[in-house]
Amino acid sequence: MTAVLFLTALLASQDEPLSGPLPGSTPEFSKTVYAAVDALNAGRFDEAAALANKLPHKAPVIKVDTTSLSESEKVTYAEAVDGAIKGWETAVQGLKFKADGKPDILITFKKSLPPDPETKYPKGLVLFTSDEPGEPRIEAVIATTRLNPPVSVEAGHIRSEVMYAIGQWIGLADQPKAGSVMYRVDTLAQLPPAVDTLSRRIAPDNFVLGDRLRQAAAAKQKVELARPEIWIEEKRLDVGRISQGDQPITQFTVVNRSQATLQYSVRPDCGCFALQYNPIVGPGQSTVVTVGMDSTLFPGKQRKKLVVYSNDPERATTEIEFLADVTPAYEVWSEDGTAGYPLYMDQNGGKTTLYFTFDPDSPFTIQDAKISGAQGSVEWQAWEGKLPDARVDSDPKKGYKIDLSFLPVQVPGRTMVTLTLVTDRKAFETVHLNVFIQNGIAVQPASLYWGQIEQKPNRAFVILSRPGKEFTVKSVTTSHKSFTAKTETMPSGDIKLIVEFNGDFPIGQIAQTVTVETDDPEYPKLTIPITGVVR
Amino acid sequence: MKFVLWLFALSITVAAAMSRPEDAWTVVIGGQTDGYLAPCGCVKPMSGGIKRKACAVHGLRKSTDKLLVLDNGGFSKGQGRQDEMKAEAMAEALKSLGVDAINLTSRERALGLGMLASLHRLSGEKFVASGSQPDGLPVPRWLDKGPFLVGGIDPASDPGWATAVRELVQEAKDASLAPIVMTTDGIEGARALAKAHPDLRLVVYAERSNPPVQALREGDCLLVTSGEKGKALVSVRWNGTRFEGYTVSDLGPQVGEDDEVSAIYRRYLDRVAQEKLLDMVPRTNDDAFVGSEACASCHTQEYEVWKTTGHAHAYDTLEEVHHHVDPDCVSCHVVGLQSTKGFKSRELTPLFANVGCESCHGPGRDHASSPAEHPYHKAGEDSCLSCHDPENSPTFDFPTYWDKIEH
Repeated sequence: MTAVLFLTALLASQDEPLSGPLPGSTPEFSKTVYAAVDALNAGRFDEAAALANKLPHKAPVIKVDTTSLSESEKVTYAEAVDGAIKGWETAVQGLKFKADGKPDILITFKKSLPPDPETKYPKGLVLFTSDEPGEPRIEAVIATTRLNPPVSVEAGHIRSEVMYAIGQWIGLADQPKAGSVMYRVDTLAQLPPAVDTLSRRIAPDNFVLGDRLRQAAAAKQKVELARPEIWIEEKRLDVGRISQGDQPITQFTVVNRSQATLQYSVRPDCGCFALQYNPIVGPGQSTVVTVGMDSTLFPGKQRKKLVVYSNDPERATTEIEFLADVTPAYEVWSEDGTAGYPLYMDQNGGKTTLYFTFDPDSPFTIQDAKISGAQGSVEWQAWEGKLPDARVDSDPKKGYKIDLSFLPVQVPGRTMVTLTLVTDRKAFETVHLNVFIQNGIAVQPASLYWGQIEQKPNRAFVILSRPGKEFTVKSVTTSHKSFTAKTETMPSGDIKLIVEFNGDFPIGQIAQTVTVETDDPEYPKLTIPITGVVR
Repeated sequence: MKFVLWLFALSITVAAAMSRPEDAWTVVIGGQTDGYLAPCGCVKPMSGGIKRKACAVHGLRKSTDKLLVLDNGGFSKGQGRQDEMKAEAMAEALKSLGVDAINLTSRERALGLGMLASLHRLSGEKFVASGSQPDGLPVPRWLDKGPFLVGGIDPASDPGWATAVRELVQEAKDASLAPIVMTTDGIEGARALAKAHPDLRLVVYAERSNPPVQALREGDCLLVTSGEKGKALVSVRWNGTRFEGYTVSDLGPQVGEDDEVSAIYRRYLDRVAQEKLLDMVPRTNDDAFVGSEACASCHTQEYEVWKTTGHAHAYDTLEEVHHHVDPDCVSCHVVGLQSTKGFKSRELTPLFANVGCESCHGPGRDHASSPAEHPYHKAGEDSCLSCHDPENSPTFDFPTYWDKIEH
């Protein structure tokens, strides 16, 4: 009964048309598949069988030559190789490696390998592929040291390299992004221990192809497997100048120049793309890939990439460049070009004006505005003209003039205030802008951070400022004798508070303060943290 | 067959050795990190971060001592307190990985003299400003290292930049050095610079995108950019007469994290916690929330589904990596951070920790108190996109993600 079922399944599988290698297979795998098919269809069944036998099967023999290793390396690396084998056996149902017999995969080790001509790094792995029946299909020579001067590898590196070598034997192509077992580097990198999703998808298909071709050769049967040929004319998509928030749509055409079914997929390098396409193109057909890009988060000149993977054995990947010049949807200007610098307040509060400008062809309507972080009010009105200070920008503009008024603020120093605008633009329903207000004396930066310093003299300073109202420092004291402080008045009227460290401080965290007494009755005392680490 | 391949490999080695002059240098290019200190996002693997960059640069340093590390500035995105702390952490990290020159741009100047002095000190005094000097803080005009003279300009804000480049090129010529310029301009500006000064050998420009697959060349000058947010390590090689060997390596999780810079990053997070920056996040609305447990009484099945999803543990995942103190991260991992009545801390508002029902469906107090009078709306793809944006969730596609939380 079992034999009947098996025969039925075999005959049924042989009736199904044979699909070509999936995108993501190596060119060598694809070429071997097509060579076997050619041989079958030409009636050269012995040749076809020999070719099919080079394709992966689920009972491979893997041998590890440890003669060049030390005793401790033998133990460590044996575990790593076992880990790699188990990783693949878990990923592919029915795959079971053996240790006895003529090896399909041979793993050997060398202390170091010649450098890669491109990167100049010593190689971490060299793969040899053999067509000779008496030799392993793949020999992976793994370097036990990397870099220059040499650094010994760890078990994880060995495991990564063996997993990659097995993947190559299965016929999986290199992947350009980390996260795949088929991504490798010649440095001290360790890849994830599990086989990634894409490799898990392609690998079983490659085993099936190998089995089908071996069966066909044994049964002396012809098979149908035409070669897809992909053609993409557009290698660059340039949507030109667009406004931020625009979602341009462009297209490119994928043409199947063959009599086989073309399969392809498109992977962008940015999550800002939305793609629509039919991944299957019939013989002689063409299809359009629609590419939408959301520019909301991407002002400025953009250069991105779309990679087309296909089952064309000659053109497995095609890169398409995507360009856009995204002009900002809006810009915010202060009257004197000092947006971001604090607005100084006094006992009457403070006022400032901002200009919110946009491209007249893509206007905004401000529906509401409010401030948070301080008490105050905001008024806005449509505006057109030139900015008050031509040094900032002298081109005529259109947008809104926003007047901000702040009540006297209780918190001394510098405060960040958020201006929230509600607009009618879907991509920019709310726009948050930061404005800084200063009440009294501000310390910039707010703490004196040393970072990591040594037990030797060092020097740093912060700036005390109160624009428009000078003040005098009466005294400066520090909380620890290792720090001394003094002040210098700058030409602008700001005061430089200089803190000297004499190096005599225990190793560990610094959590000290410097206290400044001033002649300003509203702000008679400032306490400034001194932080860092002494090593 | 094997012997042929070995012979081939050997010949490549010999050829490489013969073509590699004694004064070959590697130049690493960085910049425009915009405060991106570490990969953030709910997708693995993410790229970039100062810890990985330092690990990669130290790795390069093990293979050569002829290494020049440049940074084109642009540490911070804004001027708030957190931006300042990020900039200080970045400066420390650059010093730790051995940066040689940092372009002093208008973004650093906008932080003010006190902060600029702090950054200059923390970086090991590595800023260069070839055009106008910052008031009150003299920095070198350029760096002289190995066969190079390196300057930095910011054409958008410094009218003296053109003269500075002329002087740099002349100085380099007089000293038989190869001139390099870092500029905040884009590719057109870089190309114009290279055309105007054919003696330039490398121009590092700024671009808001990934670094290109191939470097551009204008005559004998190579034009390169690190791209934005430091997600890749970009390097070029100097062969004695010109730059070549442009390499872009993704700083993915395979790179590893440098211990010293990891400590710097941890100190940054500790400072953020110490200064309680999360408490200072502006609360821009008064939306009223109730927490997901309040929804459970009527929407039991949906609540049970939610409990099994990653959303129900989103704040926990932040706590595991000490990012629960970071305002940049917390807003997408809790309910109502922008509201005066939303999340404040796990202790004060435990019901609002994690991504709850109201994170997507909106404030639910009115609906919970009177469902018939205040019907609740279904959430659609738009409600996902505010957090699953291309930056933090680059592989997001609604059907796949919805499958995991469908209710």
